[in-house]
Amino acid sequence: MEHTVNKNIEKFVPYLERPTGKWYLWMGVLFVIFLMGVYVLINQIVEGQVITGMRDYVFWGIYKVNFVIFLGFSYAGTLIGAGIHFFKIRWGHPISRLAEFINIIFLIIGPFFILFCMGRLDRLHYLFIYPRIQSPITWDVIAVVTDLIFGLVYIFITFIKDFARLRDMENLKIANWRKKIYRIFAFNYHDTPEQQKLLRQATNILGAILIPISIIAYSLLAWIFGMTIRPVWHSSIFAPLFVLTAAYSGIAMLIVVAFFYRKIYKLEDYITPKHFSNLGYVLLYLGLFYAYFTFSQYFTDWYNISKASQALYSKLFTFSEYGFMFWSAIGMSIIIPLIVTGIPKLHSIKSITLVSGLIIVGTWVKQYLLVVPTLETPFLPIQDPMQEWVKYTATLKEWVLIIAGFAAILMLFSIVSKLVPAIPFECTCEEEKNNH
Amino acid sequence: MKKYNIINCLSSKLPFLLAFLFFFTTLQGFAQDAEEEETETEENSVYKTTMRLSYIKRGDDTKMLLANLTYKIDKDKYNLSGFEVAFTMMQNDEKIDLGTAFTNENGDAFVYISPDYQLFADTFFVDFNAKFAGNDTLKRASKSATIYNSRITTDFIEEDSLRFVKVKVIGVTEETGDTVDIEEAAVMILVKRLHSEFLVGEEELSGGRANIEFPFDLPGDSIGNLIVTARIEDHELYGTIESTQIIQWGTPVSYNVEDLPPTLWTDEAPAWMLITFWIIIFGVWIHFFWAIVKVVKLSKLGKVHQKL
Repeated sequence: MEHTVNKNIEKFVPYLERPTGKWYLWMGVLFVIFLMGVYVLINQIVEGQVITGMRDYVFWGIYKVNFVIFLGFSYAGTLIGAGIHFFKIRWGHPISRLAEFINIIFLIIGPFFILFCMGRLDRLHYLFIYPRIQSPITWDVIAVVTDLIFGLVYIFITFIKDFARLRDMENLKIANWRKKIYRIFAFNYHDTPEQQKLLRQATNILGAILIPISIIAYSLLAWIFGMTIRPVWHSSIFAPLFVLTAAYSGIAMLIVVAFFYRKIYKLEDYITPKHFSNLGYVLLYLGLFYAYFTFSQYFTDWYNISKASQALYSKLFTFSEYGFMFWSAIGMSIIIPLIVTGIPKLHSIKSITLVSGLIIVGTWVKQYLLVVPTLETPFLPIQDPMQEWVKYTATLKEWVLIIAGFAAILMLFSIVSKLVPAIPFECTCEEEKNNH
Repeated sequence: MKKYNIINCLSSKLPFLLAFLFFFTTLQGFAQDAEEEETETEENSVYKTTMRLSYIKRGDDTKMLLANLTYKIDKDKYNLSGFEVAFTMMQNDEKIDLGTAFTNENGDAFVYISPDYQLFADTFFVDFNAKFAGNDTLKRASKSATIYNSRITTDFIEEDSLRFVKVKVIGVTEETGDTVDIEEAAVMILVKRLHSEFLVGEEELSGGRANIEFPFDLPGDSIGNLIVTARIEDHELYGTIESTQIIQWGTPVSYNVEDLPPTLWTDEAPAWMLITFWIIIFGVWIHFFWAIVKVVKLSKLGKVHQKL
């Protein structure tokens, strides 16, 4: 191999080698939380969905909200990662790997949450045995599976160079099986000009197709709502709004992930304040569009004279019902982020990260408000239903599964960060060149 | 010296003291004015109300008394809704209660007089009255109307490939009660549509008669029926009088819209959807295999490089 392992690469070596006691402790805590989730899931399969707050009216609850939000993060990760490679955004290279982590990890965990919503998991395979092309559910299943395969292959292709370098690091103290994995997935890469060209072509081809795939896949998810005759949902703006929400909350997630990676793996040389400031400006522009789309969505539907829509808006704006959640979501996802990202003097790593955290929470709450109040207010209500059937409140067991999902996400981030460096080695080499 | 200083000081501050006193007294004056104005407002808080009374004689000989109650603030007029209006009539010097009704959101209250009740059996006019008793904030209001007996009849005829609605209207005179043809009143021919009435034509009565041409192309119900009304509105002696009839002069329209076939719920997806689906799938996966081919080539080149 022509290149030599530079000093910057060596910085990552301790993180890739044998895990520390702290790492095992951290993983142990996460695993316990994850096991609690598994227990609740088994409980739900045995007892049925009666252990959740979901009933005849509200058949989707926080599981669905998490599903939508997680897939949003994933598609945004694809868009950002592939976009940085395809459009050759040089300043974004150090964070492209993190975007790819977000893409794959959230795409692996996210779909589980839609399975938790299903009353008859034993019939899941019917989706594949008897697919109906005219059903948005089928579109979504195909889109998620396609995106997962493409995302995995894409991430492996972007790892090839780093796997080759790791394969060639003779002083790397790792298990033999890991060395074998690096050798296999390095695909005999030796950084020759021909191989560089082929690798660039493969990355560009997949990157180019992954961008529309992400947009289509998230639109298909939006159409699961949009193709249903329900207040607010049956709207042509739903798919673009979903894609925009994914990009917006995905950038916010990238900032939060970058903040913690920067702290934990001491990546201050690569993930600089400039990255946070630039991503802050991206948040500002996306936030303005998000505000415009949100206003347009609600304002258009507000003029709908149907009784169900009127009842829904009454619930959303009444503080004794969903008013507090609604205005909190608007504050967290629109007003505060626009103020902080719009005033350059307020830009700092902490402020941008804090605002990103608020955006994630705000978009989660807004997604909850898109799902639950609408299901509670159908066009054709059931006659004289029990109040418990109408009103949805998530149970403790549902929250345990949600937290277990986040624990699984953190576990995967921790594992994947042990296998590959969080910053592409290419960036570290550039850094080395710049230093010289 | 000290005394001088105080006087000197006071004299220098005098203009300010005077100005302060002036403002203070002026403010007091303003306060008094405000109090007076408030009292006036309290006195003016009894609003003047206005009532209009209409008599409507329907085609089926039903009579309706309609009272409209409004009040004014400055120059703006507002409907009074939810207030009770009492209706009475004087017939042969006898006062008869017709009942009470509450005004709706348009400020209208109305009572019906059954077609069986012979309103003009012993007399050729009737005095109607509508009264609103008022309350603490709204002044009382009443309105009377004297209505004379009248009758309107319509004939639908076809002449020389044309259609006409012939209207004849007679009424009693104010002075003697003799029956005469009504003159100088506009009669309208209206056809009932979904939310309102369509004006087919309007003509002034001459010798108590009007002859209004009727079009051929009005959409009717499934067998072409139209609901046609001849009406004189708000006549000073006879009120609103009208005659309504159903005539098969419209073009038949079928309002039974057949349900669209639920295409997406059939066993087979529509062709356009299948074609779009396969184009997208093919387009996407061809890129995938193209990228894989590049990686395989890359791997093969690596093997060659290793051998060298």
